[in-house]
Amino acid sequence: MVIAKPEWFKRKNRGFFSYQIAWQGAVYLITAITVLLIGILFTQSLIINLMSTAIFLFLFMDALGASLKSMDEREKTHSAIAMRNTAWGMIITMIIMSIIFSSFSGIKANLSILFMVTALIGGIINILTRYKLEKES
Amino acid sequence: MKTKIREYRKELKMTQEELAETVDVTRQTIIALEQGRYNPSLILAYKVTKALKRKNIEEVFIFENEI
Repeated sequence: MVIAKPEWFKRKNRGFFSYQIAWQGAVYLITAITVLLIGILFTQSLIINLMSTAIFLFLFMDALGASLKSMDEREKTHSAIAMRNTAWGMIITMIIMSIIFSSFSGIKANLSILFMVTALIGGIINILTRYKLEKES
Repeated sequence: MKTKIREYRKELKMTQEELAETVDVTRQTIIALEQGRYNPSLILAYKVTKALKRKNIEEVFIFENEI
């Protein structure tokens, strides 16, 4: 962790659906997303786009590291299983979409759509896996 | 795995939140342990045993039919 601190992302004991973190963690995440949105939506410059994406990824990975460090052993196990399922889901989604793009000439291959759908599927799988594990243990 | 965490915790008049803070886990983990839905690591089992002022892990965690 370079900037983020584990206590900013320590989960408060309120159950699965109300995932609460300290205000510092919320501000940190909002800042990271704001940097990305400003860099992508409000400018046409490729350099600024790349820079904002790089800054976002740095902040996001930093927050992810801090978040992992703040978890207890049960949450770490849940997180590891959820990440594994997410990775598999994203790989399968990318393969399926690549096959669809290459099989149907009418559909124009669009990388941004490919990445967005993959990320969405990954997010859904992650949430569902965590929910299931939380219910089970 | 069955546990006697709730029983011993109530003897000590300790809340789940307090026990969770003592052993550095979330309250959800204490709930899962009390309900026998989660098998802890040896380190966590030891911490919980100490927090409940017991000498042996076997007093708190009942391992019958686990092997």
